[in-house]
Amino acid sequence: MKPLKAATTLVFFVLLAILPIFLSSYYVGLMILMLIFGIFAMSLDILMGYGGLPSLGHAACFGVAAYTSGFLALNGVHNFWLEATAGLILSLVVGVIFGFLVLRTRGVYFLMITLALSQVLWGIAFKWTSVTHGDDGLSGIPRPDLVVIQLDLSNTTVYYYFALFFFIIAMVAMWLVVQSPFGLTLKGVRDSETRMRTLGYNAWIYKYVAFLIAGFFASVAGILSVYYHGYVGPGDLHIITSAKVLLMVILGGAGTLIGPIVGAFGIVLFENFISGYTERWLLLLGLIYVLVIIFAPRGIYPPIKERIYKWLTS
Amino acid sequence: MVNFVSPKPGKVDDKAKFGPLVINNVSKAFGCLQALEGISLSLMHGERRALIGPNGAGKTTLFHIVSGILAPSSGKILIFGHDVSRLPIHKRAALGVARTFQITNLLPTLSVLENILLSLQAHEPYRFVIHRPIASFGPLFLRAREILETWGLWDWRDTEVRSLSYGEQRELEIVMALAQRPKLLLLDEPTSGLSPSETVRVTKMVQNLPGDVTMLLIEHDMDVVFDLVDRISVLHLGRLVAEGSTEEIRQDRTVQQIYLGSRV
Repeated sequence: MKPLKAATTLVFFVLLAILPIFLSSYYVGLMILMLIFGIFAMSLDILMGYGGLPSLGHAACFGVAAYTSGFLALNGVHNFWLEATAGLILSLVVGVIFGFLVLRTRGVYFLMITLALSQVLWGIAFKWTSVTHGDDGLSGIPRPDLVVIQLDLSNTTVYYYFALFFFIIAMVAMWLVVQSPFGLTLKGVRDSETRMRTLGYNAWIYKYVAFLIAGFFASVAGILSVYYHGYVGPGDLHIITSAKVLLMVILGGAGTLIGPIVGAFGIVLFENFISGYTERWLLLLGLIYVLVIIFAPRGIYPPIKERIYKWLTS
Repeated sequence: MVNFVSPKPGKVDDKAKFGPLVINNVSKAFGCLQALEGISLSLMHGERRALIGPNGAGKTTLFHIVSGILAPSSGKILIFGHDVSRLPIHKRAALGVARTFQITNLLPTLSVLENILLSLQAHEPYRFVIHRPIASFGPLFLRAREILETWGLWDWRDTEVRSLSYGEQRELEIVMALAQRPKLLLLDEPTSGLSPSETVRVTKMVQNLPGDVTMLLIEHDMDVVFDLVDRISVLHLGRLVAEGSTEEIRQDRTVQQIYLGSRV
């Protein structure tokens, strides 16, 4: 199983690396979105699949980081690293504060309080027009200036590799997290908190750190998103964004890192193709969701993985 | 072994004099229901004590208060001389307390090996390590393998715990507690729901505990109780009604009345 896993991972990365060469810039743009939502969905999965804490407010970190970096880029800071660091820090501050509030709850209550808090941020973005331009959002944000490295990021293909670089780093980092003693402990807390606490684990710390890690990588996705679109609006903080990434994790398969990537890639493609034919694409997404829940309750990826494994061993 | 830093380093010897568990006048009320009333009980080093009593006597409630899942309404719990009445669960575990639950409490979607790894890792400083795969911690895996082989669970290492039989799950829960090499072991009805042959196995597991482990056992099967403990405390309607050696309790009139009913 191990060499197979290594081989598929390698093929996956090689495909990601060479595909843009053969694709038009429209499809390269689509692949950028796939990478961004891939990071975003994986980050939610740390919280949801590994920590057992499904959140309906994950767009909060995504949006706060995007707004911060975008605002600085528009206001005279021409240094990607400064803008990105500021975005990450502010979103981390939000995570530090929200973490204290939301981790008092579990299950549906966790879902509701994360939703409520993220909608508060959406409300701020909507109303604080002097900074956020309200419903219009911040537009005209230039592609980042890397200062030390001269890269023409206004070229879509170059930006794709820029995003791929962060995608790979994020994926490896999150893989290490879930494979580490911390990751195993987190899964234990998901299964039975009282058991873990009586074994001697401070369950709360693990959930809190998982919440911050999830927020951190969601911010990375948010920063990549704001520079790609050149735009950030209240929609990036809205429940629709949170629900979309939640669906990606559920459809792909929570509790694995590959599942959310499958879900993210699938939904981004689906959204773009279907929305060309109908405006009711969310309705169709709902239908797919129902079908997946009925026929593959663990998500699409786990049964596919098992079938391939069975086929290879027989 | 678990090391704990005594708050006053000079008084370590004094601390050692204290018993592993002292329950001092503990009461617990749930609303107007008085579940426990003025319970005082203390265990000596290496003592094996059973806590018996009819259903609803408050045995599990007392276990929850000792391990920290519930807070007492009044009274104190001392573990190795430390007042733990307000200490969170995991800090009590760090003092060397391990327990099992009346209703099996394991990590159901994790494998047998992962359950044992988590039990072994609980007091290791690297339990917070986040940047290194757990597979790279060789000694941890060696110890887990040793434990699983000792208890005949090695062949089941990759099985998800939820697909084990009920009896196997009960055994695994005890193995997880023992893997931590606790100084104070709390077993809540370890043989409940087990077949006679499984009961014998579990009884043997507990009999072979190292002599320095202090154990408090809740059990309804009197044969198991008489096999495993030196002394018995009897709880009835939230009060401690008798305490003595197994022979004394066997002869005790009150206890007989509680269990067999009295003809007035």
